[in-house]
Amino acid sequence: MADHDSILKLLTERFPGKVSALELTPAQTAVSVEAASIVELFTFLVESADLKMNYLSTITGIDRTDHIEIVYFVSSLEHKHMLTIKTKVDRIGGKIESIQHIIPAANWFEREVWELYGVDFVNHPDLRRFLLPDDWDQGNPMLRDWDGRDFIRMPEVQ
Amino acid sequence: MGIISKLPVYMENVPGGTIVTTSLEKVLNESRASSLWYLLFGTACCAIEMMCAGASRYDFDRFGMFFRASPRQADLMFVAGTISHKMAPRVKLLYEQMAEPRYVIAMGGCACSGGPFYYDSYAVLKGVDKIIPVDVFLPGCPPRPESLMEACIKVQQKVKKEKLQDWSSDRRG
Ligand code: SF4
Repeated sequence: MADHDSILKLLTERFPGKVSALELTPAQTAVSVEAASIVELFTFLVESADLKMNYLSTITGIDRTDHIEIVYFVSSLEHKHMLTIKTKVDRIGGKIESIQHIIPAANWFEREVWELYGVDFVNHPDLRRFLLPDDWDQGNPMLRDWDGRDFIRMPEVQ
Repeated sequence: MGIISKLPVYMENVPGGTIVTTSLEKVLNESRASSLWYLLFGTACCAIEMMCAGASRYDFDRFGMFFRASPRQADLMFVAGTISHKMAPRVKLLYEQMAEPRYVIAMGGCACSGGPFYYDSYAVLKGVDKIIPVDVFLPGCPPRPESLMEACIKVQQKVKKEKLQDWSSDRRG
């Protein structure tokens, strides 16, 4: 099992300037990465013998109002360590390379982020409606300024 | 003779004691009210209370209520749980598949109004009465089995008061 510091050291040395360490909670090893390097990073994570990150827990998005943050949670079943990867894309028309060909489990997660946040996953083989109703025509509901039929925003609490 | 002692007003004991007369409506309504078979329709946490109400501690069987897994055999539908916009057409379809006369209890805040998901939710239907007619609204998050029982008793009272010509849902007010 690689510990917190050695994972961060390995990644920042391997991808200088592209990957940087993030301080979240002490229990969480986290890095931020440029969106353009995501495929490179995942290829390394899966193939490196020291890391063997072969299990993708989830991919999710966060609307930070000026950009969309995409968060990947990966772990290694063999070495029993975890890594959180954060990356930024544009809020409108954001694009990022799909990692489905490296980790097939990413397929459904990417579809989910695509429909809820409107982030385009380039080279995804099957980017279509996933959880929302089949006849959904109201845009990407997880964006903070989203509004739709029947939608009632929580009033400000004084 | 149990049922006869319950129907004194409508029942006449003809001398000799072997023949009784009563109104057909009263007998049918009494039997329907004592055999409300319900469709299991649990979509969220409220369903746990519904199962609890059906199990041995609260024991719905003593009201003549048994769960049915098919809408074709059910008289009553508990909408127990959160109904999302994606689920809504299925709820409507199941309701339409039930034979008339049919009754609906909206169980819990979610089924009544959207409950805890009323604000800031793109996915949850704000009340099942938007898609199907509801007979009894039962608030609570979740309501206890006792309250579900009370809702069922309310439905029974409603059933007992009905006229034969009201059986089709088109005529029910
Ligand atoms: S009303 Fe409360 S308990 Fe019932 S389904 Fe909704 S959230 Fe769950």
